[in-house]
Amino acid sequence: MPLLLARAYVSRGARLWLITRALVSGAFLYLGTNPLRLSAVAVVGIVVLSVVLGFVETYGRRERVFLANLALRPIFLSALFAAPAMIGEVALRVVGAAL
Amino acid sequence: MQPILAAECVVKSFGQCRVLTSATLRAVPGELRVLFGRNGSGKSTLLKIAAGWLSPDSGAIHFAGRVYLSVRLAELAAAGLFYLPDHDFLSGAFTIRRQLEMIRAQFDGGDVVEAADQLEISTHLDKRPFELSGGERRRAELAAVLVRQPLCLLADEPYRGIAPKDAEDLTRIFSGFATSGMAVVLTGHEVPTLLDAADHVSWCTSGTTYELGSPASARLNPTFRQEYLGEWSHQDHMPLFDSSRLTR
Repeated sequence: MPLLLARAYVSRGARLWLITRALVSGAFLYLGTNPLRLSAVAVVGIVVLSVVLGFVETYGRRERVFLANLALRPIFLSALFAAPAMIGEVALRVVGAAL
Repeated sequence: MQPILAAECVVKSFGQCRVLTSATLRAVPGELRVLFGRNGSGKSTLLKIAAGWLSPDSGAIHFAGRVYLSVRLAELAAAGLFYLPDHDFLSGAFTIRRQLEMIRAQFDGGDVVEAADQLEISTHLDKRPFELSGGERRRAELAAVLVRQPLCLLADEPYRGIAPKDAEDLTRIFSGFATSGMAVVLTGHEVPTLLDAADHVSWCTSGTTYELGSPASARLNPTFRQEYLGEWSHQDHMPLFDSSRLTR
């Protein structure tokens, strides 16, 4: 997969994960839970939500035909959206453990 | 010459409504084929199925020597198909240059700047599609085709929302694609423009397709004339607007 294509969709995934994480963290703080020490289920939920939002944005921007013409299958797109979310969650977990 | 793409005996229903009962679409290298049909006749559905964008209820897709009963556009695209849908193809999220570069990088395609020069969109390369007019967007989409250099191009109503002058230019570009050996299939309602450019005409009606042959044969087909061409068939390329008739 070309770097240019990967970079474009990984950065979109990163942006959506940041928004999702900020909202979820806000909700957990409101409920009195440390957002840096979430359960594995919650972390997986955030990653899945980031990927779903990535697809929603891609559908909304009518990019599906463009991506299919690039021979890019949805599974690869999922990986591009999931990668920054997973890296971010691992980084937060490390920070949370260190604090 | 053998077709590179053939969607054979395609059947498709949406709920209770059967759109295609037994339709066929073929794309032949070096030919510009046109699929005519009234709105709702199923031509866009047939094109989507041939492109792997929609699954048929039954029927088979042959592409580049392989037969598929169920196939995705991504798989056909990897094998050399390019599909332009009946809506804007390029994303508003990236510049034209970036999207053309993505295509070039993915398929080791043609030069982006050269394609933009050919399509006269060089000054728009760093703009996003929504900053361009309808005609410029169509040109940018065709620049994407030039960069991709596919074996087969399926374009659904590529003339929508553009001025007649732009339509003439686009027709020349499509003809150029066919001359270079690409198999091209277009749909649309721009009868004079498309008939002048086509090598072969198909007609989609009542859920099936009819191969009418050359544009000259199509013009002589009484049912096609009566049911699709209508009044236009009685006029011999009369211009829609004759400025010499203007009076003050």
